[in-house]
Amino acid sequence: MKQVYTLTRAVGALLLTIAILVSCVDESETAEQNPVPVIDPDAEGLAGNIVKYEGEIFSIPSPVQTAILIKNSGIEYNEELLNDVDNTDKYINQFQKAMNMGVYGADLAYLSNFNNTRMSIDYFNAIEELADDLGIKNNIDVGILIRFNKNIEIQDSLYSLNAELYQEANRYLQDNERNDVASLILAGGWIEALHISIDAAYDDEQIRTRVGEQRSALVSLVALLGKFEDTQVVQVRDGLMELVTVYKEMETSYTYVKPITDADDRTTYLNSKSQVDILDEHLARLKESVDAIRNTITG
Amino acid sequence: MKKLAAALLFAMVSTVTWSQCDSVAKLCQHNMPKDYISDGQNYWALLYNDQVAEFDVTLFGGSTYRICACSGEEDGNLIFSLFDQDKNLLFTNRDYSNAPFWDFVVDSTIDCTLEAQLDLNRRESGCAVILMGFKH
Repeated sequence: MKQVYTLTRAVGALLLTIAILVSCVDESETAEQNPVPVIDPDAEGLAGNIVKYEGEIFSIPSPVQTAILIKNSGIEYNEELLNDVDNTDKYINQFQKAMNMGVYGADLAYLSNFNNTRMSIDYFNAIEELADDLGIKNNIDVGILIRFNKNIEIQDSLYSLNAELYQEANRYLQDNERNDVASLILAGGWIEALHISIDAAYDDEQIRTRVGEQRSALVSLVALLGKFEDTQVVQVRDGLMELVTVYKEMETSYTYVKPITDADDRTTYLNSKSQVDILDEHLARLKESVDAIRNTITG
Repeated sequence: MKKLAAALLFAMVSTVTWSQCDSVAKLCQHNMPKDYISDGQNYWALLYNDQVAEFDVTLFGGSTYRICACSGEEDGNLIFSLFDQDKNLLFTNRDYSNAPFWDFVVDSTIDCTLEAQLDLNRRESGCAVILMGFKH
């Protein structure tokens, strides 16, 4: 029978295996005095190696993807949207460092659109500094950092390297059960990308639609941050809940259309249609809430 | 003594398992060509028997996505399936010999659920890794 995977069940099974192994360490003692402990597979509170809590895995859209959409729209560069790199020194705790590592990653993706080498270097340095403070930098493939420095003027390489850098950081953090830091980085990147998109959404219909298509990611993010007790994270989550209210008011539609698969090309064409209507009023309220959340993060 | 043994075993098994996921993720990366940009995340799950890992993902219109699915060192150990928000099956690699990667050309943005499970004919437990990349 099909079971939906949950982290707790998996870890429960793992613990059960260990319990059985432990029972073999001293069989006589175990058999006579203590039965093999029964592990509740639904027990909570066990850490895992996946960016997820309560048995869920979360997918948060990449800020790089948003940046590329903005590039294709031809929207003009607006430096005021970015979080100043001089703020880096202000960030003293894990929340600030991790969230702003995500923020600067989204800013760097945005900057990559405009071939501003000097600023790209500054933002890359800020990311490096925060990654170092978080104990991540030394565990990222040095090759990525070298390629970053060598290719900082090549737009397409910058997008890929930005994504690779954050994927490496994500992998290291998961591998070391530091999912909390990984989650904060993801959250910071998503919020900054939304902040940049909302500004561009007034001038571009595609970006406006893309802003409206963030509801599912937002719901994931709220759940992702749901386990934190840190006051600043709670403040961010409360702000995200205000966004949820706005998203719920948007009219959406979805029509299933049968996909077409080309087996030779290993490609499936997903032809279903979706629509979201995002009004100026929605944008204005999103902007207000995102600005408030961002102030909590960037200081 | 027993507590110490338990702690040691837990540490050993954990380390082996987590590093196994890391190795699988690195191998899986080989199916992601350079023209695809990573979404920056790694989706890992430890699966036993018929357990299914699932997560929600938004595929944005106008993009082409590559999904790579791996478990262990050989291709074809992991079955992955993509459903839309109404639970219509959009694709499963089970129909294509458990292909280790597949591309999706997305016309209009879709909120999907991705499910992954081991092919029990080939593997009964292990780390499941999904990687996603996109291009425009």
